[in-house]
Amino acid sequence: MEGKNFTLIGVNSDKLEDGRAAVKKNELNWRSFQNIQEGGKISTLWEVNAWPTILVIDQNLKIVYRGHDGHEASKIAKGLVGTPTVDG
Amino acid sequence: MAGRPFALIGVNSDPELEKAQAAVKKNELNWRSFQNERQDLAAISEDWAVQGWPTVIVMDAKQNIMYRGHDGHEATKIAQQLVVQLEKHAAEKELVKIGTHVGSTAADIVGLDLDGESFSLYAFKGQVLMLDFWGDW
Repeated sequence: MEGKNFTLIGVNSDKLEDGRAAVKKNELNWRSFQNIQEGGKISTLWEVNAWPTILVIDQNLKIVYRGHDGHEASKIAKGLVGTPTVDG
Repeated sequence: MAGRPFALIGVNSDPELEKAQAAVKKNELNWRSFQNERQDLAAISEDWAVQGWPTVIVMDAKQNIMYRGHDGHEATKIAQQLVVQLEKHAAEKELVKIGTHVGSTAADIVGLDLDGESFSLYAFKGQVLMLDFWGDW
């Protein structure tokens, strides 16, 4: 879905060098956060208990899917891409 | 309805401007009125096909005409309802729930990528985002 108002962002739970190696090995072309931010682990703040957890967030930052099914998430994201942004 | 999202605008038909100005003064009207007669243009009341006076029109915040008639009480009632709806809508928008589950507005993430560069989730607002909590197992 390149260039289609869609962005995939990761949160990687590995040790930094392992995360980097995984990006290289799998030729991942999307950015990932290291799993840490002010206040603690991102995964803890987001109450992620199972990995992978995938969320789909719409153009207005509303969370429309959260789960573990990549296919379902992709389907929902594809459905959202191209729908007009609702401002306000 | 002072201080609320409401405005009253008049169109005054008195042929003599001074007469209308006197009426504003006498009745202490605190709202502005157009002069109905316009230079080089048809009167406003002609453009609006006004037959009976007074004619009162209520428009919502998007200028949709919601009432047109001769009943000031009815018009006021409708306008008040619209104002209440508008205020309620504005209040709901302010109470956007920030969270991390379906139905919430996503909390921001501010952190570092795997190369140590700083970035944030909110920088991508306006795009459809997929956020993948992953690891290499």
